[in-house]
Amino acid sequence: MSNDLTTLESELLAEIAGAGDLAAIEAVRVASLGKKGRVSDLMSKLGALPNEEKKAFGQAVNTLKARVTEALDARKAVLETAALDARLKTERADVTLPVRQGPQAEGRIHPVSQVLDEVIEIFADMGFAVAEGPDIETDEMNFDKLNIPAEHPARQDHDTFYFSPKADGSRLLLRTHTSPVQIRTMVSTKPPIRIIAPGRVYRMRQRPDAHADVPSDRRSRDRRDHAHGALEVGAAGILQSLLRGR
Amino acid sequence: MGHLKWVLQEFCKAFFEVDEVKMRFRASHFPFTEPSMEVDIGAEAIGKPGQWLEILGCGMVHPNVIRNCGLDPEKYQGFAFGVGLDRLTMLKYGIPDLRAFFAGDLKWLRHYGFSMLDVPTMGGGLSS
Repeated sequence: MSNDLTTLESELLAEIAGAGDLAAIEAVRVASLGKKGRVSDLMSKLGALPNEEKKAFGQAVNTLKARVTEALDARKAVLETAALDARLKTERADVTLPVRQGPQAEGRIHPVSQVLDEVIEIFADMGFAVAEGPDIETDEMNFDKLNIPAEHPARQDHDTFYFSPKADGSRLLLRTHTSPVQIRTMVSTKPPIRIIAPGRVYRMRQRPDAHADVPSDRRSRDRRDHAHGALEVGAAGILQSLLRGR
Repeated sequence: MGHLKWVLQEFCKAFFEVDEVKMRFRASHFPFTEPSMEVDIGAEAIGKPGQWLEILGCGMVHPNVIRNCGLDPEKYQGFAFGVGLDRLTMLKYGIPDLRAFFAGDLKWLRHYGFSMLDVPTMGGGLSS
């Protein structure tokens, strides 16, 4: 019995060593360790043996299995490295080539940038100027001055990105809308005021897929599916305001 | 209020590049405007008749906000609105997935992106 095993082992190891590519190594794996493979066949014979031989035979088969697995993995690693090397050789880019002309070399405008340009164009036509402000705002500008009371849900930690509190207890935050720009303009400019305030805004949203607990720059607009906490950054809002004498 | 509605109407017509757009103003609430409204447009504008699409929130600037900026709400009034640019983009250019905006996929950008020479103007057309 043990002779059979030794023969089988040397046969399999020879086959593994002879496998020339990843497909061949996979074929050897299926033929030996697969469900109907030669090693697995041995295991099924185990039940027919007398009790006293079972233990020794089982151990021998497992050892064989481990050796074959090891040899397979080692050969596979060698072949993968070789495949990668071959690919790197054939796909090498000649960095000294001149830049390719034509549309492939040309960048594209992101759709949101394009839409922003369109929006600015439309409002400019109606006499609105573009106003800008900082992305990092104070509590006062983002909430207080906008008549949003301290107990409003939007001001809670899980809706807004806050920075660590300063010594005096005040906190900076990433603006949740571009309305603070409107406030800043109203404070610093005499009416009439006619502005739009395009820009990025930041709101915390939860990701719908439950296993992700890393901050993500992806986000979902679907508010119904909140399963787990993660972050979102993004969204551009425009806020337009017109203020004039009555 | 009249000015607000006119400006929004003109904006929607220009943005979606249509001659007429149906609009619906629904009463809503925002802390910084009073009264506040949410605006739906008839989806005919983007070729889907029979539906309403919510596109923005707006209202008359709340007297408290005007007062907070050191102005007299008895003397000044104003309107304001907020609209998501990514939402406008999805509606106008039929982009189904918002997340693609932030994924930085070059293939996606080559498909949906615009030529840098295609500058929008009111006279020459906003989009090609």
